[in-house]
Amino acid sequence: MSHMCDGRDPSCGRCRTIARRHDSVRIAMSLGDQLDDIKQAQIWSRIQDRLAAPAPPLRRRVAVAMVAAVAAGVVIAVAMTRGGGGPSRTFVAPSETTLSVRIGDTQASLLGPAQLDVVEATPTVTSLDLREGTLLAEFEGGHGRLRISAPGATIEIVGTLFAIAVHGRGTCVSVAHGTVRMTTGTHTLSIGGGQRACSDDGVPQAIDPATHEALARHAAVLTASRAAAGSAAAEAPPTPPVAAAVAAGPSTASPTTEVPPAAPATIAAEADRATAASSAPPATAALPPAGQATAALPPAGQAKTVLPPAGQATASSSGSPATPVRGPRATAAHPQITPPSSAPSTPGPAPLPRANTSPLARSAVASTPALVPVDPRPASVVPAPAPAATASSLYLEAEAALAKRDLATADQRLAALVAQFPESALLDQVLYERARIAYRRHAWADAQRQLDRLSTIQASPLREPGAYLACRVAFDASDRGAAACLIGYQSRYPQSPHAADVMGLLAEIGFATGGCPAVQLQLAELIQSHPGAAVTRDWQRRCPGAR
Amino acid sequence: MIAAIAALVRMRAAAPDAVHDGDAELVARHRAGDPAAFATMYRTHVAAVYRRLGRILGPVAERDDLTQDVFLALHRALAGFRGEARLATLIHRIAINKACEFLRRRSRRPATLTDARFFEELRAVTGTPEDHAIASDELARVFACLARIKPKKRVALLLRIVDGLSFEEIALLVDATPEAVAKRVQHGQRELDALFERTAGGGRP
Repeated sequence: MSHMCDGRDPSCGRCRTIARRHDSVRIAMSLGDQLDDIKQAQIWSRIQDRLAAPAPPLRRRVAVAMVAAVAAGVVIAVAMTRGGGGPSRTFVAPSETTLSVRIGDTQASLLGPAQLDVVEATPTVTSLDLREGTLLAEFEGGHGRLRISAPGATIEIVGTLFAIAVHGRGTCVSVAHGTVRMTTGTHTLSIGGGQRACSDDGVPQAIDPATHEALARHAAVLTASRAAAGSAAAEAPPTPPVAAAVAAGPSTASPTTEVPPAAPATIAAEADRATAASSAPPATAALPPAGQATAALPPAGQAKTVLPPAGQATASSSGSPATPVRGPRATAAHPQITPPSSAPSTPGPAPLPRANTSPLARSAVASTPALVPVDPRPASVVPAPAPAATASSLYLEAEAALAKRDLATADQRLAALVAQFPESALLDQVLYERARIAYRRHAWADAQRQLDRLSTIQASPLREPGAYLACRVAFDASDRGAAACLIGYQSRYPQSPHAADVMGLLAEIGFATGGCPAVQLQLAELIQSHPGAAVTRDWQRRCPGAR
Repeated sequence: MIAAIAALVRMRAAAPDAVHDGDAELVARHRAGDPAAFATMYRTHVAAVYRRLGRILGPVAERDDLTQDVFLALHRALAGFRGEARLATLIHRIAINKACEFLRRRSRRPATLTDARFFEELRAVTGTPEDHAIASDELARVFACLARIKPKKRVALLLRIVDGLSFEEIALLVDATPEAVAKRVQHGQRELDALFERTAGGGRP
């Protein structure tokens, strides 16, 4: 071979073949490589959280690493001793550690010190035992029912975003959206969206801001990772029912602590012995030095979920989702959980395959089974409240609508969020998103209104993209102030990622008045500072003399 | 208005090394405790980092986390940054290291179909269904073939093919000699050719 055939010599036949392959590679690896402003802001928020957490001193780091290694060893020991056939697995999150656990359709974070036992994981029932600590979780209902035992209470979930915190002998449950049924030794109560109840007092109260914030962040992390994967997640092949990721330092509920490289350890969990996957082997995964690991267990049998779709759920509860549905069911502190197919004891439409998993549908589905009294005293029965929309649930609905290009619904949900939760941490994202929707509709005044409000939120990472969008609005609306806006933006954000585009827009304004000769200086600067940018190449084509 | 724009351009043109000086100034401000300096670095480079990761890894869902990791690593590295290289070079080096670590980690666990499905998502918006099917197959094939190439060779090859960098430029980013880079590209190319030919009839790479 006289030269290296890497596709750069078109006179060589083999090189032409290679060049075609290179084109394929280039296309494949350049797909979806644009970072949108929302994602940019989300990543920045996470970085800020990590940076805000004080770095632990070296001795503490070593101690944390040793505790993590010991905990991993304990988990291995538990897995090995139970390897003979017991159905239980244990996840232990040491102090200052967050253990991310995926069990069936539940994505959970275990905030250490905490211990969670997986008692049962079948297609219809997932049963967990929270011994200590706090569990933040979102359950989509795909595996039927989720039941969690904790000191002083048994909690049953149909589909919701919730937190369970164990304190001493009691347990408190906070629900972001959906409905959770908690059974204590004396009573059963339904806890709706935005509510919190503890096993020792049994009266639902408003969720405390810290837990609300932790849940919103947990939901945001889940949303961000789902958004990146697109809707592929919904079509993905059956996933393992139990998976865990260990990260030293809390990652969702409180600032995360950087972890030093620890000695390689192993975290192992016992193989899932769900009925439909009894032949699956045990799985283990190595904990790499960075203090993070994943462990995936083989899949349990996937069963068709029989939950009514959103619209039907309301109808089945006599027209009112808040109406308690009383049934001759559990009378003990640990009630027998009936699989969904046989659960409804009241007449209603036949169960249908689940139609969608949107938060809206989940809320409606969760509202159907409301209350099962076990204490004859009426005072102990608390009627199930209607599931209230939360800021995060409204935002999720708006995102879902945007994914379907349904701008009207998305804007409506976002407007509702602003109206109902004016103090929400999501406010800047909402305003920016609404401005983008208005921009896409060419509703310039509306876009400008949202951006004006966004500009008043001092700490928002979306101020810079908002300022750029404001200039774009002015430019596209042929506003006379567009050039001043762009120059002002340049001076405020001299190293912005939109710098080349801003220069291109300024050149466009100059070009409109005097053609290529009028923009020579701007183009010179553009070529010098952004030689490879698309906007530069475009201008070089339009004004070939530009240097 | 035109005069104002021209004045601005002249002011900027008077400082040809503004970008490089800007790096030094930013780093100095960061060391002095100015939080806005790191935010500026992030704003300036995040899109390029995200793009760089995508061009090495493809559109994998973990890009967000890796982008975050790159900037956290940058934050730690800035304490020892003496300005021998441009800030952008340092950042891209970190990004490439993170991408290599990710590829090594991923090679130790079974592949999923998520990435190929994600390609389908991305291609679904254009073309006829037939075009879409062909394009999706081709993209999935490219991705499957690249997954079989070792991280160092893959990175060198993709920096060459996708970004069109010279061996010297790649060497600077991967901390190797240009000769070593040339070898990696050559070997990577050979492996990719063999994998493409093996999969031409729809076989597995």
